[in-house]
Amino acid sequence: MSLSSMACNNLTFLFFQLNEVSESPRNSFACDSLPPRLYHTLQVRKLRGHRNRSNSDPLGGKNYTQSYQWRNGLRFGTAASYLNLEKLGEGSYSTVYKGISRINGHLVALKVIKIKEEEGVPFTAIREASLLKGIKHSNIVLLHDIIHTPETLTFVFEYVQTDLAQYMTQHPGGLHAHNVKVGSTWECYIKSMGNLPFFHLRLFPGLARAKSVPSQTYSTEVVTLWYRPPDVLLGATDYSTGLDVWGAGCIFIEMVEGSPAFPGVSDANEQLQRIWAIQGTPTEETWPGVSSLPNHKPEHFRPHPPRKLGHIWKRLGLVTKAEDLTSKLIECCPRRRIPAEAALQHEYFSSLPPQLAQLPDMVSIFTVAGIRLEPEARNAFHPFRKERCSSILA
Amino acid sequence: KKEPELQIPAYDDVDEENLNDPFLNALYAKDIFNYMKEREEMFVLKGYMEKQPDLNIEMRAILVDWMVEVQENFELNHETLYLAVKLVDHFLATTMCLKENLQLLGSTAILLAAKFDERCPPCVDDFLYICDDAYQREELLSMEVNILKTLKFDINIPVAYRFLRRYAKCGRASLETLTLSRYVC
Repeated sequence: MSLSSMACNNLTFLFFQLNEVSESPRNSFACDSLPPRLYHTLQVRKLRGHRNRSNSDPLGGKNYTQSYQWRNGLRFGTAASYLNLEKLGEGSYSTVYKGISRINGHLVALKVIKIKEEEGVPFTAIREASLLKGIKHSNIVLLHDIIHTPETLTFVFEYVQTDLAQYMTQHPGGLHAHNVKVGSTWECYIKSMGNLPFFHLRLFPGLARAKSVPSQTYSTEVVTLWYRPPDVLLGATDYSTGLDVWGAGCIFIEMVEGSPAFPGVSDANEQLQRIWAIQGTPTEETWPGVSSLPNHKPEHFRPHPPRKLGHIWKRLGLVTKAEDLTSKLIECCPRRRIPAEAALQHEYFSSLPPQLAQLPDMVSIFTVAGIRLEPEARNAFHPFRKERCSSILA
Repeated sequence: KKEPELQIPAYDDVDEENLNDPFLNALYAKDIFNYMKEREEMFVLKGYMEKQPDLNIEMRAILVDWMVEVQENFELNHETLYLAVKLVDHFLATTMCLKENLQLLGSTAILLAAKFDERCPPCVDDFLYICDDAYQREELLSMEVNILKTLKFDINIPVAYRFLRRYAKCGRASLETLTLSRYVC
């Protein structure tokens, strides 16, 4: 299972407009400017070419040109205004399709959520929609429209050409060190943006929770196992923003190394074993209060000494200060974990232009002089295109 | 006579002492407060009762009293109750409601607010039970969607109690004072 397969059951399947270097960063919809007719033709042609590779074909081989026509009088909020093109992914509570708006021809991502017979609208959907409604931010997908039918709710999002998960799949073996740095600032800036204080950093599949002044917390099943911090794995419910810092650290390692940091498969115990094997089994000295956490059972865990991160994740050691930053992000004791703001001040980021800190919400970081992505090493050989050709031939 | 504001310490001090406690989010407290203040202005309510032919102020008062009881029974957060009342008011401000459906509206609003804000929201069965089975599951669930559609899913509404908690912290008020203040807002 990869990040991309999880991305769909999550609140914000979204996040970074990580485009290839050749494209202009924020304009991922190069097609938007084309007249609808032409765009339509392109889209149909593209679909025909790819049909045999598509995960599913909701149109079932029907004639696209007939079923798909621009219509006058289509409104937002109705299912007829959107056409499903292909399934992008499936999660526990929703299925995500790539779609097209018949109102304006824009590509969209359609997140279809089943309304449960017993409990009604899932609370995850209520939180997602109500929180996203109030957000306009260049690093967070826009929620355009909500369609309701008796059995389903469909959230219509802007279509993001490549999200981080896809980007990492396309460039296996770890990303370019410079791109990791640029990408990491997104993670942290989402956190420190003035308008978004209510949100946990949402870089990974997880619940974006509204965070209010009185600290109250939610389920212990808050984030996907791989990105769940040890305090939450041990049953702590009084977690806070440090939850996301841990996740950010895990994603950071994943971007650098090309494989997930702690890919647990079964349960919290296994996940903890993986963490202890690297960070060392915690004691009251290294983590005051650990022994009073609900699921802390020292008899289940073999004592491990902490290991040097650069020995386990080799590429981390190759970048100045990356290992030090990582060790602060994935600090087991939540009270000792570095806050997002402080992480941004870390020496690792000192080579980036300081103007990044003053960027308004709706401005992409690529508008700052000197910020651009470098071509990924493997990209030069087009490994992805090769794979595609071979799979079509096969 | 001295201005009362002058006696309240600047809230910078209040957060500073908590900066070392990541669980209090002191780092974000001011941002959160400003965000809520900004959002609050988007949800200004106007009097709607004269437009509701079947309802009056007393009925709303009875409903809110009942909602308080439900909150106590389910041991919900105060914020959940306040949000539920907001949902009722914003719904009634735009949509006609018969008095037979007022309790349905109230209990569904609590369900929605609980789903939005509680760690373990009560289930639909609990709500049917507290309404003494006056309503069917389908009615409750269709009211849920009805409220969401009417409010356009924009249910992240700042409530007075969040501000009150903040003011109480800044004014270093005791729990007694905070509880007493709840009668006002």
